[in-house]
Amino acid sequence: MKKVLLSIGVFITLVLAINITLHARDTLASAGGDSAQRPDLLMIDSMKVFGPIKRRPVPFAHDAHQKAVTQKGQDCSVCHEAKPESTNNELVYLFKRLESSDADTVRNIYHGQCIDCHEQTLARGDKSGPVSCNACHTKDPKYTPGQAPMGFDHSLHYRHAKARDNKCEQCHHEYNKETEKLVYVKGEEGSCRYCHGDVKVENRIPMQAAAHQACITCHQAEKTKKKNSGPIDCGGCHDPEQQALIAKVDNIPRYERGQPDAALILPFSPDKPVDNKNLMQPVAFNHLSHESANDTCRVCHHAEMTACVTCHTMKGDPEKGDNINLMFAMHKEDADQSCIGCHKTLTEETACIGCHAAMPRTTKKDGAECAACHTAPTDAGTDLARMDDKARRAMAEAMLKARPDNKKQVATEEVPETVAIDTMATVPAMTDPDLALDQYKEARMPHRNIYASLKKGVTDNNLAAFFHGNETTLCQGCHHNSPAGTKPPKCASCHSSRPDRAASPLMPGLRGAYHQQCIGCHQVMNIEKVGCTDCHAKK
Amino acid sequence: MSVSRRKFLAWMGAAGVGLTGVGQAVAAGPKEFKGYANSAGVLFDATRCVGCRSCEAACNKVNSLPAPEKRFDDLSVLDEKRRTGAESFTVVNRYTPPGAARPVFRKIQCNHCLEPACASACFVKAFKKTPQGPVTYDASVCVGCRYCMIACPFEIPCYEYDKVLTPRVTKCTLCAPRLQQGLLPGCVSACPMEALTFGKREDLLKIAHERIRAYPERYVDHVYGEHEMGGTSWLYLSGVPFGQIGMREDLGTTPAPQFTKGALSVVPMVTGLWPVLLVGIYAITQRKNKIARQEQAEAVAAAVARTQAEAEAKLAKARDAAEKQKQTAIDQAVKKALEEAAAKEKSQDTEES
Repeated sequence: MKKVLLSIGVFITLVLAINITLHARDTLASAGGDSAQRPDLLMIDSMKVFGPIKRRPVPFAHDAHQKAVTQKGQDCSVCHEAKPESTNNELVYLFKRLESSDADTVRNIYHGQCIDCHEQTLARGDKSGPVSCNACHTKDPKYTPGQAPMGFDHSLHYRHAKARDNKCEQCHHEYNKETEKLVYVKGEEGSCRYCHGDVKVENRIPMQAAAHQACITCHQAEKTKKKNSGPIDCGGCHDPEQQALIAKVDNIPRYERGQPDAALILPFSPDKPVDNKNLMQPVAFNHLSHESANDTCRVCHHAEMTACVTCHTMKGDPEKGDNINLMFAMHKEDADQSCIGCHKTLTEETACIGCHAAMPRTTKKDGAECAACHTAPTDAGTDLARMDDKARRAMAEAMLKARPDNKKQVATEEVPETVAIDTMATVPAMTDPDLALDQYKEARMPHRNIYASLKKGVTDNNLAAFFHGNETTLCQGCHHNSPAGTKPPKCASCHSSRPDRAASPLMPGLRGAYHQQCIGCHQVMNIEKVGCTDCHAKK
Repeated sequence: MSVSRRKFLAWMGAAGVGLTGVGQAVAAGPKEFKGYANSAGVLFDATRCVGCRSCEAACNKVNSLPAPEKRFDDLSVLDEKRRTGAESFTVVNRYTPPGAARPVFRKIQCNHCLEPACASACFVKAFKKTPQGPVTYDASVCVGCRYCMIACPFEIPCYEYDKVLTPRVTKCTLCAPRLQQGLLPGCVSACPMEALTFGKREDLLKIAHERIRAYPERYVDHVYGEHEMGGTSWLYLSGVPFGQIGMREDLGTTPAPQFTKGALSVVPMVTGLWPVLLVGIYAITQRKNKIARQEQAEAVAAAVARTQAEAEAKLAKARDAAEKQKQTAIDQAVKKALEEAAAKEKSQDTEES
């Protein structure tokens, strides 16, 4: 009898222990960050402006509420109030208030309005939201916010400009300090981010509020007029899947804002010319080609549509341009906006990465590299210090025109058609009796096809063409670290079958060199041929 | 003197702790073993490995291991995470780190620690770190306790469970026999990508750091095995954090033997001390018994002597009394005889008279 009782006791304890463990795991899993993301999920933490928040932020599914309101035949005004001074019924994107005045008021607005509405909906017998404290202030929200950033690219800008009949003033404005009014100034249009920053400064609302007020008010108005309009729900702009559905326009006409076709980046400040023959040569910058190659002006210009040197002065300015001087602004390798930083990032594109992955990312600081951009003015007698802006632009254009035709490459017929890689016999491992590695035949590389494909990639792209200007630059992707020429040394000239690791720690042996080069390139360029028999026939 | 069992155990415990402390002080001393000079190692570069399994095939061949279930050119085995086995001293696994453009491969085999846990756990010294680099295994002395398998932080040694009479512990040998012939380890020789580099450990470290220096964006700035578990002969480079390719990042830099050195240093003490202690306790007990016996004997003797004396005194008294009685009797008899004689004489006189 005792034994039976004992076994029952053990069984119950085990079941309890397992239950507790499983429960603990459930709790941990839900508390972890693996809850699904939703583009319309907002975390209501409005109280944090009044000090540390006492209850957990409330997850709020905006699209679900918007849908429910629309189904009832109501509009945004159920939750949002219109700006009193607004003529086009511009809504304030705060919940049921024009501004966050004090903690008690804001708390009462949320508690009163949310719970009230949920209770009324429940009373009608409809599906409703929570009415108890912890149901809203939950510790394990089912969803977390996941908004993909949204911005205006050239295509979207063009579509809006066209739809608004090129009436730029409908979106672009400036603030006139004297009249304290928003005014439109032709030719001074810039990015919203120029004034609207991350947080509210004086009377400038943050970018987030500005974008939502302007975009959604307009979209809403157009929708009311039954016109084709942009999204008014969160997902329409911030869901990556829906973003991909936004139509793209090709061959977008150029912005009409008086921007230059070419600009001359000078080795001195334009307002303080330095008369010194030993300065670095200027750079003729092709503004036109950079405009069409990029999605937005912001890619280079941050927010202001001014010349780089305005903020990035020759010595750096603590007040503007983050104290980064012009030299670093143009050359910083890890900055997205700098010339070299952006060009380096572009070498990571599939068509380029095959060769560029093998090269160290750090630029060689030699004269040839600098001279690619820094070139002498076309006219030897040019005195840059005493030229006006117009003359400098003209000079930049002349310099760009004088650039050699970079689309010239070694003729495809001139390169060997097939290269048989049959030098492996000298590698000791190939004759190792224990390994029997000679099961594969030599690889026959379609050299000419590879060259033709790479050549096409280079000549089809202006940037690539410019930087592969020398006829044999492209060849050096594979035939690296040796003098450029149409008769490059053989791989085995440097890569030994018995490599001295200690003497040249980075140089692979012959067998490794071939496989690393070929397979390495195939991998990064997403060329499927990475298996042994893709290149070697079996004996 | 009486010692309770509880007290005795407490003393032993205190003695043990004291000795352990001494052991640790020795272990943490200034002497640090940094590996044998010029010992060999292999550098594995995960950014080069393409998961072709040539190393596995070569390992199988040079160690004359049985043919695997699936051929070595069947890459479907990479779909699961494998580990080393009795018949596979090395395996390559495929990992998909978050955010990585391509899968990353990692080769697993014995790391040939500079101070191996297996060797320190083996009480018959079947494992030995050779000055040449390989950690070798001597099956002839192995008793099959498999402590090595439990000790290894990399979970490498395996056991031939299917061999009933001659089971051995198996693991990568770093191709010690091939090294003696001047050949490279099988896997290194076979690797087409040169993802494996064989050389002196010191040189490999330089090569590894040089690669990181030249291609900082390609590598994680860490050479795995340089310091892990006090250093290993196999070294690793990777483009993703090592934890993402299934390598333990929690091992620390202390060599495995140092964790057990303190406790194990007590063993000779205990083996030396216990006989002395037990013999001592035995001797004390024996002595106590002896004294007790002696005391008892003395007491008995005293008692006997006392009784004897008393008896003798009694006897003497009795004898005296008897003597006295006898004397009295004699005296009386003499007196009586004299009286009788006197009476007789008187009567004779009278008659004569």
